[in-house]
Amino acid sequence: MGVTRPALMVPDEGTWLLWGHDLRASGLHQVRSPSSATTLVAPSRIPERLLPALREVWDQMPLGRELVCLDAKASGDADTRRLLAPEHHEGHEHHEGHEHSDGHEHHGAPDHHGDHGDHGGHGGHDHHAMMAVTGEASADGLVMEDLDVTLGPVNSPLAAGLVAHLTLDGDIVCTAHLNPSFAEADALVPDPTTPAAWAAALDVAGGDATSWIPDVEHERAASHARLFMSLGTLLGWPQLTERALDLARVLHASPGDRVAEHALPAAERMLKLVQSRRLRSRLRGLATIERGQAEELGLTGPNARASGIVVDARIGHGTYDALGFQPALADRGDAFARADVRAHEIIASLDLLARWSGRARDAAAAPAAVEGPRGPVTIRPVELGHAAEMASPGQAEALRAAADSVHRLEWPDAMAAVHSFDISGWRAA
Amino acid sequence: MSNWTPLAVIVVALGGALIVALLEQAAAGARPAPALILRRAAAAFDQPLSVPHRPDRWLFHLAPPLLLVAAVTALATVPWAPGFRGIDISTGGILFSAALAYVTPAVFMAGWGSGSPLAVLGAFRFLALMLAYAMPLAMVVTAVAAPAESLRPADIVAVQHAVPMAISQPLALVLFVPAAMAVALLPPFDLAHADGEMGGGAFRQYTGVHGALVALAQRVLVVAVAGMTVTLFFSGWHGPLLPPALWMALKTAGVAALMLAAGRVLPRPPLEQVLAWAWKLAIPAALLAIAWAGLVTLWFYR
Repeated sequence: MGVTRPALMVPDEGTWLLWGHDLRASGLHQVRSPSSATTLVAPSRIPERLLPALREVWDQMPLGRELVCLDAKASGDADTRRLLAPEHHEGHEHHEGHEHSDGHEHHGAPDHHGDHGDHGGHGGHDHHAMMAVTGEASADGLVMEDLDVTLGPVNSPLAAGLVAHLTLDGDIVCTAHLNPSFAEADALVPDPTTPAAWAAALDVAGGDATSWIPDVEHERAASHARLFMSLGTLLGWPQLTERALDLARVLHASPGDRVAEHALPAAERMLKLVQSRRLRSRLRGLATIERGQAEELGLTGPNARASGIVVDARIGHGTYDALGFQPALADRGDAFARADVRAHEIIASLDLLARWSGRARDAAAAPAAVEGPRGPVTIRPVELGHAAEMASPGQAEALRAAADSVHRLEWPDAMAAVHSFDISGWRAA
Repeated sequence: MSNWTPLAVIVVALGGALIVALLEQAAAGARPAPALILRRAAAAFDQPLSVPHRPDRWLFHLAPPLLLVAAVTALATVPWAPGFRGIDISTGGILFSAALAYVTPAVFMAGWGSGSPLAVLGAFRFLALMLAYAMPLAMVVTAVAAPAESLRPADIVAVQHAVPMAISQPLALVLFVPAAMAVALLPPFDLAHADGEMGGGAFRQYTGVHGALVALAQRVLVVAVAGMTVTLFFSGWHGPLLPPALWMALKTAGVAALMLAAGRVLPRPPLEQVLAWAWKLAIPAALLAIAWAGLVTLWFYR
């Protein structure tokens, strides 16, 4: 690999790959800290509410910074380049360009918002409220001061778009409130991190039972690879990040009929790491959701299957049955189980793609839902002139489960626990 | 020690930091680019200082220079060749540990001075880490000093002319390396400033000159601990054919490269696990290492 420039990527490198942009091939590698980034990569159009957070991140970057705006599946009503670097805006949209800073002065002005940190760039609010010694003792018997921390929507340990309001007792998370803050996306793609699944749901609504299968399985593998990239970063395990990135890049670059052949070796290499003792010891027993609890919560997708619930929209679908589909299952319901299920789903999706390319298309009845990377998605167009009914059952429940699972966990475990549920930063239907 | 020693130590610090930065690039799979590193370092000095919203100004501004002073002082105790031994005093091993001890208040000052929760959290994590690992670090130094009957690093090198301590005291090596990596803020022991989960932790607010000083200090620390590892365990500058200083430089670069590579293949362990290793395993094992050092000294070095 040649020399690459450190770049802050919004939302993240894996999602840009999903959207068709291999930023590593363009000479950029992802960093997490704005002060060590020379480039900011952001969608050309962003939701207005994201702008303060992006501006805060932009301001923290060193002089000589460049802004790269790319077309993205995500949409918004604000022109990123015009709003972040107005003096260099050329009136064009949706083009890559370079930007140089305008030399902001930050020298210690007491009213200057230098506190970029724990909000991860969220709007410049001061969230370390006056510390009050409460009357409640913590687990070790000490009466501690509560700390309020807000993370997100960008430049935080969590998924881009996810805002977390946490109360800490020392480094123990007491309460957590999670909110996906990105809500403006295409009318028929509520979550742009899984566009193929939503497009497939629309096809299914139109009566198409099978043609979307390769796209959905390809997206499932890519989405899970993206998750493992961010897991490696979260756990401080560059080797996992690099292997997941290799897989994601192979998925991005391979032609449709050869993707399984090219991607399977990379997927198996990554699976070796996922199943290694290093990850198992880190995630085992963390944020356990037992089967009964998962059923009560109404979890779906890989989160449910990791708890042993056999729920998958692909089960009973004639074409999937003919392809030999079997859902990946685990039974412990902990963070490792959720990672393990997703890793096996990557392999399963690639196997399905390999078998798909060699067979005739069966006519099958359209299923009730499409199983996306995070769970089932459905679109039901109603009447002409009315908005379609979009649903992704289980996502709100996963959000609740993630928020509840961090109670009394230490900070790094809490971050790993939330991450294991694969919560999207977009507020899908 | 001559009048040129301080200047020589600074040259070694800067050169060593550059080599460590190149090794970091190589460990990440990128092509080492020294010009790029130097350009970025120069650009950092042009970057305006960014001060947090509610800092403790004295602590915030003093932490990076203190960290750098601690790192350079630790580096100054490393002997590079028979003719260049740095701060060559009879208690050099203790001075090395003492200099590294100042990393803890520097990191704590950085976190507390930043005044933000995650920075303070990172600072406390490092404090807990160092309280646990400072003891085995110092104990191992005394274990290795026993055969040399001296705490002078050059004497410890001299006694290894035939057999390196890595062979005669492997337990001490196994205890020293993780402790050294922890004090040098190297992954997987970078719990104080983990980028992924802490967003930079104690150092998250540092930009411009401060950020450059922190980055420089971190790399000088790597050179210092790698150099001392070679001094204590790998016969220092001893080796055939090549000049002593070159042997020392190659061995130090090799140890540094291994430390950096370990950070890429090992995930960051949870803090409570790291602390448990220290208090329940490392400290008792360090006592065993001292006892073993005594036996080795009696059997082989008398």
